[in-house]
Amino acid sequence: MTFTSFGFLLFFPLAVLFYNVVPQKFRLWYLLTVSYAFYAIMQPVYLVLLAGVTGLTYFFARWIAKTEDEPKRNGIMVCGIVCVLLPLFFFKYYNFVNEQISALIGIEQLMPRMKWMLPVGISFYTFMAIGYLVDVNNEVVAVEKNIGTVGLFLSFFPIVLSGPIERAGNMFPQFKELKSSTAEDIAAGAKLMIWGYFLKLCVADRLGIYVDAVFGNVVHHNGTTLLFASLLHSVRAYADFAGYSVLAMGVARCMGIRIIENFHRPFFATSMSEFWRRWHISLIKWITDYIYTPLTFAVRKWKIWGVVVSIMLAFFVSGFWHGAAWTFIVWGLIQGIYLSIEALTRKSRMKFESKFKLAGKWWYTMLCCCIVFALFSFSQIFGHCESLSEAGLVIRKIFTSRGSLFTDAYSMVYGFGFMALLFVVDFLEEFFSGRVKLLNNKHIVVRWATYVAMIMIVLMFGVLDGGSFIYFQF
Amino acid sequence: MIILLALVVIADKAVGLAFVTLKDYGLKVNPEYKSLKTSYVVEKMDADVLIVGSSRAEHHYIPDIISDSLGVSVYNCGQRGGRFLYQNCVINMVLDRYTPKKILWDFLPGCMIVSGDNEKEYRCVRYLSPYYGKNKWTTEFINSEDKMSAVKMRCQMFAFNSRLPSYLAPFVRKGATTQNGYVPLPSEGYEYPVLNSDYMDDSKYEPDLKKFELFASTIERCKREGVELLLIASPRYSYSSRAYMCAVSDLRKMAAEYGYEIYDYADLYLDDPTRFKDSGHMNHKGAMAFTEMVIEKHLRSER
Repeated sequence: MTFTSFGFLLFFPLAVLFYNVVPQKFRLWYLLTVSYAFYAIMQPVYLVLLAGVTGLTYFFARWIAKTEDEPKRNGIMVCGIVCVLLPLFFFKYYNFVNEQISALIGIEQLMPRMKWMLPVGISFYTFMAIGYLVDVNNEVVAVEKNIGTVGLFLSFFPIVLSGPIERAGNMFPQFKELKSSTAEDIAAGAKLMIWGYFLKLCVADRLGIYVDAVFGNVVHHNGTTLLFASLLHSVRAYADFAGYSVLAMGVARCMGIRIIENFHRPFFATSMSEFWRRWHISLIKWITDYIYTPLTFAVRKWKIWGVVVSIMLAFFVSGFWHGAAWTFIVWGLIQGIYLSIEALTRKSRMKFESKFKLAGKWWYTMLCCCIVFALFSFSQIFGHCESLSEAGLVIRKIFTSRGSLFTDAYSMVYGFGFMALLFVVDFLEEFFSGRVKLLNNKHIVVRWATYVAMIMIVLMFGVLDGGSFIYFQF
Repeated sequence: MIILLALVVIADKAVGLAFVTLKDYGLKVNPEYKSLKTSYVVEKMDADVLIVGSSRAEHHYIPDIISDSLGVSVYNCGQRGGRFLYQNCVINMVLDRYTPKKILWDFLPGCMIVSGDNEKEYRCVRYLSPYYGKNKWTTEFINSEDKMSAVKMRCQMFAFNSRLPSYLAPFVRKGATTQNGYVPLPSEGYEYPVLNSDYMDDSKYEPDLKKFELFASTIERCKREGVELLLIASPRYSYSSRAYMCAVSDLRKMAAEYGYEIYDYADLYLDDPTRFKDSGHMNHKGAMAFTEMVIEKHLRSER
């Protein structure tokens, strides 16, 4: 059951209704039950795994909190992280590592291949568990003695499948309160959900019809079409993942729970480093706090080269987190290269911009946005292709194989129209924030007309016959 | 919230009414526009000979050639994306309205096998939305999509999802956009398909019994109502799998019980890729040759 399935439209209002009916002291256990039921509808077998990771996380966090001696605490933390990482390794990375080692030593298969399905959400809740253990060790958050709270943190149904990667510091205080939903919560949540459905069903899935048709048949498409599809894929990825994240925010908000914003108009970033402060914010913050920052501190003597090494390692982890394949690793490393170049050239770029007074000039801002978009779209070729050779073929064809553009009238008319709407809304929010309001307009007629119009757009033009979120596979 | 819901419901009903009105008016001003093909076939078309099938039928049979050769009216009802369940529904809806002399059913034996891509059967389901609840064949077909279809179809905006351009197009572009339902594919200007030299047949055969039952019911109806039925699997540019051959064999046995034969021409033109636009569809050159062959072998002699 995903957010865009019909079943969810029946499940969710009932979940919110009973949340408000259940006495406050029982709400934690109610939400935990609902979250586990939600997960069980998807993959009942892997509930055991989720519960197991929850148990391990709870146990190790309490052990860390009880231990005074710092080296011992660190050791327990590392132990806990390894235990929590083990299921992720076996389900997601075992086959890949097995194949690479086998290829390296020149044998067919070192260990037997695992054929188990990847547990949904494992990458997300594993990272959340690790974050909690580190935060307890660093005394950023107090250890939670109620296992139900820890259980809900890792299984909370709006975020368990595809994030955002939340922090204990944000969620635990809210789980302790669990107040009834206010009218403002329901309204705000519903507005977020309408926007999320628009992003996912009208933009992402529409563009996805074209993009998947092209990338599903790379051999038969020319470079012009592949270039076009690559650019569209970046927008599709944004709308898909941002749509899901906004839906998650909306669902949680309907119960008065606020979760982190995961996308902040990334295509208006004027540098790759700014882009990565706007794209998949929860993952990058996690990597920054738990990998990049400790690493840069450890190698601070290497100065700028320490920063470069930290960036490359951080994005190697990011790429590998996305998938057990060389394409994802290369994707991550490309991001690392972009940011390393920016780090190394930061002073000279600032001098250049200052010399020609470029900062704030609209055409320079637009140019930078276009460059960032192009760089990201290039890296996304690796993120989308099945193999490095396929990615290589796409890139080669883009530069060598001209031809007429493959078109699909309906996908393009709808997709372009709604993509334009998305960009207009993002543009207005970015540069004229608060000045043009439709969903939040002070006039009730405008607000309600917008609600009805958005619902009509989603129902009449959204791709309603199924389609999973790209990040679902994580 | 209740008022908002009421507004949405009112808008929904208005949308449903608007679409049906658009469809009715479109059939008056431009009945043979391609996007209204399904509605034209089930409501207005009254040709002596129907060609029913998917996009393969749409691109493989030239009604004008058949009409000129035999002196009967012919219409190609082939619909892109319309697989067995859609075809079965349309045939029965047409038979409810009138009795054509002959139906040439461009059959897809591969559709009668249990596979993981059953959702492809419902690609054309929205073409039949105006008839949901009013026609039993349509209602049964749409309800078979999933358990919640009956609930979803109450929402008119869902029922007519993504159909607005199709319903507006007949007013924007005048004139028939098909040749009595036939849509020719260009014969040159592209790379012809290539047979897969590494083809390995690992297909498993499991007949879809529900579809077999529906097929039997429809051909039995044709027999009862005196409709001549010609069942043909038209050419494609790919190898036939073991599962496909088993499906043809079982379907042949079933058709034979009612006195019908299935003519499998899937491998007819494997030696000539220039007759194909892609592995599944013949181009105009191939359609001309194939139509002539069907006339000579099956239509002229039966007449």
